Amino acid sequence: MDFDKIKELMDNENQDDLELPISLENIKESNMPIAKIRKTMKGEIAIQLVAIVIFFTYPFLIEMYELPRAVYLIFMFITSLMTLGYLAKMIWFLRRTSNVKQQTKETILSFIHDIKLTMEVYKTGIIAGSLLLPVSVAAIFMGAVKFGPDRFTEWFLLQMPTSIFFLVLLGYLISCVLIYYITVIWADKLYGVHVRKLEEILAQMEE
Amino acid sequence: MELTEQEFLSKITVHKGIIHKVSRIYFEDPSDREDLVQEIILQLWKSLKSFNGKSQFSSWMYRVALNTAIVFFKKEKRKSDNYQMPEHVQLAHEEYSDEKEQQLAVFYKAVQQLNKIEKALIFQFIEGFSGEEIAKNLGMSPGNVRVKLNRTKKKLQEIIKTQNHGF
Repeated sequence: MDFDKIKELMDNENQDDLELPISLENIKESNMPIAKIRKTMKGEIAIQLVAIVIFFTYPFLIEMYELPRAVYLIFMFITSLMTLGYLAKMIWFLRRTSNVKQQTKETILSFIHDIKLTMEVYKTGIIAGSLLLPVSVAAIFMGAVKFGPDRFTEWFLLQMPTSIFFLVLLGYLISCVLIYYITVIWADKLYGVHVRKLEEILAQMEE
Repeated sequence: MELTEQEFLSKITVHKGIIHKVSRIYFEDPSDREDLVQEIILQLWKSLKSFNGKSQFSSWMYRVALNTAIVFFKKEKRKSDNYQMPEHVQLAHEEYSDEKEQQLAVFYKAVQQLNKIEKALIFQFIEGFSGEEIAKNLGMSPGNVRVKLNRTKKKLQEIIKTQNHGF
């Protein structure tokens, strides 16, 4: 194959089909993996904000006993703060990372590093926030007046037989494990796909 | 480097051939190419501050354009990145106004069977980069570049031969 001839043909090819923009205004949205992740996270923040409004409004729409309502609000506040704090921190972090001006290998490695770090912090934030959720869920269900007497206060003050206590503990641990695995699978589905593609490219460099 | 948006656009217009060729090498579909071109321009603009003028503007453009193409995934699922002997793959025997045009079309079609790194290697080789320069741009060892480039050239020739073309 005559590569010089190919070069000549490429150089002389009609480039009229390539129209460069007259302004950058319309192309300011990137589709690079990091940009996509940032966009997904922004969407998540919006959903979380709406969810927070709903979660904080709900206990005032139904009749609840005082202690369960207070516990629910405190735990939801901590959960929301942790989750939003981590997501906001990630967006700030992603804004200043990953560029394509280095060597190709460095570029790919820095993208992989940034995405993996994002995934880890995201998972930590979501899992830490979610671990408090069972208490909030218990408060909203067991502390609602329409479900009968206040069983949440007894439960919260650990006024229960030892066997029930261990059952509650077991239930909590199982829900923690479930939350952990769901978060890991979810994060992998959202962000892991980018890492795998980049690792494939890296493998192509080294094979 | 500090440039206004208009100065930047004028400067890349001078070298628009680089963007054109990179997009042709990486994508066959015109809308994919258009997306890649836009992404390259955006990444060039975002990376402009890092360009300190030590190398030529065009060399810096090559690097940013290639890295963008390599990291950019959009719509790539439809394309095969792993070459296997394409007995069943048929290159389109379209009608071209002249032989040169057809040769280039066959070349671009064959290049689509290469993976992203092979595309980067063959593109830089065709553009006249030395082995050292390619190694430096990609972050690979010169020895590795030499081996992979030879392998890629052979692979490309095989693909074209399989399609009963030769030039």
